[in-house]
Amino acid sequence: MEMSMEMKENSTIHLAPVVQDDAQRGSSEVAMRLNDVSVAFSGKTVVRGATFDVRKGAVTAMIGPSGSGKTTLLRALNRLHDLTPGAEVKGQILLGQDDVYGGGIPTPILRARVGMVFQRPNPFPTMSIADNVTSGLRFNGVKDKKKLEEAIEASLWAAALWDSVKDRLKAPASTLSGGEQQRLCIARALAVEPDVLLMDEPTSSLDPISTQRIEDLMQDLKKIVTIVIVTHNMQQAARVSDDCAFLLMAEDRAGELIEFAPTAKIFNDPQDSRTLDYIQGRFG
Amino acid sequence: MTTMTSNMPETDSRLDLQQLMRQKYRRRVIVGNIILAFVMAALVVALIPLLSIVISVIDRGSKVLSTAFLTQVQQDPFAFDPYAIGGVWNAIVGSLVMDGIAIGAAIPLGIFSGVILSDAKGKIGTTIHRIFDVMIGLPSILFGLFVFFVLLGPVFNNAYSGMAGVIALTLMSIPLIAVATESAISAVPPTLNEAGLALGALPSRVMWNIKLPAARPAILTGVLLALSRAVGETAPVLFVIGQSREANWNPAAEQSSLPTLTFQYLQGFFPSQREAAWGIALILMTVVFLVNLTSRIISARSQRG
Amino acid sequence: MPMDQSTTSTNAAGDLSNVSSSPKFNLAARGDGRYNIAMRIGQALLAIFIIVFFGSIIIQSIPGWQSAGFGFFTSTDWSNADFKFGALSLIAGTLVTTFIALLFAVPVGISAALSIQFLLHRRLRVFFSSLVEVLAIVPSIVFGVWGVAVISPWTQHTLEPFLRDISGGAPPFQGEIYGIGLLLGGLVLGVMILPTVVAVSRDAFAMVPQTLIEGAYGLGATRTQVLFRVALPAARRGVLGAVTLGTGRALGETVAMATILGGVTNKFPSSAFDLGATLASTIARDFLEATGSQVGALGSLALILTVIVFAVNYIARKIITRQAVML
Ligand SMILES: Nc1ncnc2c1ncn2[C@@H]1O[C@H](COP(=O)(O)OP(=O)(O)O)[C@@H](O)[C@H]1O
Ligand SMILES: [Mg+2]
Repeated sequence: MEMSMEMKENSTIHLAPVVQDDAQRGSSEVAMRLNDVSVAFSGKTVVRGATFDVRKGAVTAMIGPSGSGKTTLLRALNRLHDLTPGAEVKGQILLGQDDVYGGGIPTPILRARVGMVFQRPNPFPTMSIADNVTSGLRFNGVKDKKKLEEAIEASLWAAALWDSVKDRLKAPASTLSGGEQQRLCIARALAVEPDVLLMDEPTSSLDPISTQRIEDLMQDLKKIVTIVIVTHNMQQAARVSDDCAFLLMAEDRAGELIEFAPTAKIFNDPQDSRTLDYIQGRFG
Repeated sequence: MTTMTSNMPETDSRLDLQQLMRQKYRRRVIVGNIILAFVMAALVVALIPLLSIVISVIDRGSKVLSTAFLTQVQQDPFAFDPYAIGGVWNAIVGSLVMDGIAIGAAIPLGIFSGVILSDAKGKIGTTIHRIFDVMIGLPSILFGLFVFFVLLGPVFNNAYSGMAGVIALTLMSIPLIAVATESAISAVPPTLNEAGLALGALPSRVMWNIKLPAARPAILTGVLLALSRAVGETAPVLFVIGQSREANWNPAAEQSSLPTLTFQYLQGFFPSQREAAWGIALILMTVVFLVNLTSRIISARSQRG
Repeated sequence: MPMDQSTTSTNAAGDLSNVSSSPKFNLAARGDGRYNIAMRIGQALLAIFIIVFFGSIIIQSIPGWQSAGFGFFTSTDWSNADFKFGALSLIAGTLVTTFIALLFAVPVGISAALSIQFLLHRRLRVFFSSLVEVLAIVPSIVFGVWGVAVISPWTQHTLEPFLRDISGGAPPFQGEIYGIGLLLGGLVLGVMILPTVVAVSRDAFAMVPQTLIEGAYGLGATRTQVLFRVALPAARRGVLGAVTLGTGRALGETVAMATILGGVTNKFPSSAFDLGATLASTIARDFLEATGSQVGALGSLALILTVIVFAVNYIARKIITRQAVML
């Protein structure tokens, strides 16, 4: 893994793309592996027994009706439930070879490797656009000016925001439109160069044009980062994802993984009748 | 550092960065925990004076408190025994009478003022509103000076009177109750009064039958806050009630109050006076604490129901 | 206002059918004219009250200005016996005690608010915030009793000798130690405004959107970083309001200061150990025995005090919401 500094010197954009076999749409390598994952709040199970692999360089979508536990399952992947008293995650989640809940990776480091974009844009209101982008790096102890400068350009570039903000990097983040703020949040998450990017209904608060731009963006992003996206919009899942996990509430209202398969298969040839019902719009 | 075996080449910058962040991790956790320890310590530092006050007031006050202390009037300075503590009955009566009347008067006046504030529009209305907010924070001694300069001559013939103290305390309480009322009224969900107005009810009816009842718990909290202030205030009455050593149920007579007697005692020379001050402090703390407890119970109930 | 349920409901039913166009609607509007008039009159009364209140403070200060002239602000010598009225020492005493109070209450109060809001378990959070708020209702005369009897021996025998020793007697820790004085006054004042600072800034912290906090954790921030780099900046307005409100309280505190500062009115403070006085404490101590031009001079002090505290509270009110003003 030794690499001389000179080799990188001439490139300011250091979020180099992962080489990808286009035909394959994502590699067969596993970025994250969920093994019988359950989440409970104060003893009440909300998601049960989710088992599937998130392929590296692919977009994995989690779909299902509202309340089926998509957000809850997503937040288990970066240990965000640690913040909720009474929340309990069972089962095993692997990030590469590392056990997410095994204690091997400190939680802040894990969260830098598994970034997150939230349902509503949440840029830090007191920070400038540039400071928002570098906030993750600075949280993680990166202080080197040059590194931070590089990260600003590279991340904003990767989030397709560079051209529109390059002249006002010092402006407060609140001066951006909703769609731009969400892309700023994507840039902010990318700046720490995560392995995986979690997106929880990232377009649900945006207008159709901003939504379109973020969907387009995701196709570029998956060359540099593995994406897991929660959406309750089936068309969106069909458009952007390579693999698809379908969750549904069981009798006791706990969400269960009904089916996990390549997106094409889920939409064209689902194995479970409940999946078929859902994608045909019979409920949810 | 373990990396996953991958048939996709990893970008080196990513691994470099992740490694750098791991190296920095220990230090920032240690620094962070030290800072957190200071933050928690500040909570302890904040609580130490509180505990010290409560403990010393209970400890030293309870040594003074006795039936005699509560039922006898303070000592006559012409037959003063420097080793005797005397009683505070005159101050208890004075406080009861003056605080009772002052709050009784401040409740309707304060609530009415609050209704006016909630209705206040335009430049003058907003200005009045702002000034009332600010008056809550004014030093209470100003209300005493106001009564002294404006009312003591024309109304009280330059004689000390408990009623002058009552007026000072009432004026001090009105902005408190008014602002509590106004914010409680404005917190009533608009759907409630819109429903009333849509039914054709007059604004006065909506205020009386819908908004004020809904705002009642919050107004009560404001009233109790004003009461606990009035009970403990020295400065507003200091210049206008005199120093009665008699227990006077007549509010118009020269009066005494628990806080002003404490203030006098603190400026006295004798240790027995300092001791008596602790006794009064215990009485004041008990009353104020009970009032506060009541207010907490009320707001807890109203939040539940 | 009489409560008459039956009339109300008949009115309501009657008006429901023809709200906008019928004469009945006009009748309703006219019927409430009385309410509107009452509100107008009430508003006028409040305006009159405000004008009379502040007007009287201004008017009774005039004799003081006339007798002392501009020397009122430039002279440090306030002595009742000689009828000399220079308020500079008192203004300085007010500012110094308030400054010491803030030195204590701002870091301690904000940190305590942070730990109550973010570091304690939910149950403990409620418990501790109530406990701190109990401090807010302790009457200020009790702080006087406590300051004189409990804290003064500690400042005299422990804190002040310690400060003098480690500083080598350099300013502002030089000179005679009395136990009472500016430092004690400032510390007690700090304790007195602590609940305001804690309660108002905790409110501000509670308003920080959870999504911001999660956003920071999601980037790998530690708890300390979330507190200081995200929550504190996001709540800065409310925290500033808390400090401003506390400043207003400290500047105007009266009876506690009158008992623990020593009442020395003619010495411009040069040491934290000095005896001193504030604007409010001087009024409280001297007003009852005041005669002649002294009454006017104390009236002038009252006006200065009013202007300063009014201005500070007005700023606080601009910064934060009305509710918090009551804390
Ligand atoms: N912090 C929490 N505490 C208790 N219950 C929760 C919590 N978060 C989510 N839930 C419950 O978990 C269920 C699934 O929620 P969520 O994961 O948000 O669903 P989705 O994202 O699929 O709409 C819901 O019934 C919700 O009420
Ligand atoms: Mg969701």
